[in-house]
Amino acid sequence: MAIPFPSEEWIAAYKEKINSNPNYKESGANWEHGTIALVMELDDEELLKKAKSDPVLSKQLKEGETAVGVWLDLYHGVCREAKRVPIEQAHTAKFVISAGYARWKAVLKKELDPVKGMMQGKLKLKGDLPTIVRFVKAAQDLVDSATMVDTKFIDE
Amino acid sequence: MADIRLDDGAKNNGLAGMMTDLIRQNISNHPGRDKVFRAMKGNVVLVAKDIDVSLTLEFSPDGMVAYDGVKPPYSLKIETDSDNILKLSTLKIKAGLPYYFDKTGREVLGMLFKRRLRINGLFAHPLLLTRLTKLFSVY
Repeated sequence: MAIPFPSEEWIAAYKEKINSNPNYKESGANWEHGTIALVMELDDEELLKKAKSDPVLSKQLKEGETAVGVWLDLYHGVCREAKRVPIEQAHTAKFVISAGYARWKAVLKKELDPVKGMMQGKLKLKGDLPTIVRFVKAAQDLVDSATMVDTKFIDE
Repeated sequence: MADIRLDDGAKNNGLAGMMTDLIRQNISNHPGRDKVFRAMKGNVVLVAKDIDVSLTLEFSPDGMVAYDGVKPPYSLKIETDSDNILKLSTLKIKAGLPYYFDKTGREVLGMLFKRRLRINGLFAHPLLLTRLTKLFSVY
């Protein structure tokens, strides 16, 4: 059954997909560079209205919240923890990738390559870029893991 | 610390922002590269053909400014697909020179021979290219 994105259930399913992805296990095997946060901005009124009317997301979105942070604690090819965090906490991660909901949706539907998206300014990356460049394959495998989750988009 | 900045007109050019961060962080991680940076002079153009993004890195004694688009006159123009631009950053540096004898080095040479990587100014400005490779390298 499709899981609403970006609910806590979706994040739990994402963690499972990361840990069952043999490609990530290999490409992320040397990753010991800290946490990654994904920030999804619910950047228009209509989208927020739909999120608040979704039976799952409505219970999880706090009053006034317009962005969701996904915290990934990754170490040596394993996702030790994946959780939803307040946006302020998300920005304390070593690496932060931010984009609007529509961009993330395009990434999850494999319509937008995340690295190309960063070069086009569609996704923003904060953190030590030389580290990310050394782990581009791992980053792609992380995103691939997300595309494996059976996802329900709130605007569909 | 070298003065490295993004021109206001390049704020929405993701690749320009990435290259600016990459050079700044590489110099911070490898302080010896500051000397290489200070020896850079001239404009370097990068074109990511597949995503239609281009930028110019203008090196001068004052530092470096990244501009959106192609800013002539340039000494080097590097044209390739976006994936290959990052590959150039994974070239290793050995004995102060880019190393072309491992897997990544051979792939970069292969791209050059197959013209999937075009470097305008390669023969006229080899030293500038070598210095640029050192600044880009994440190793």
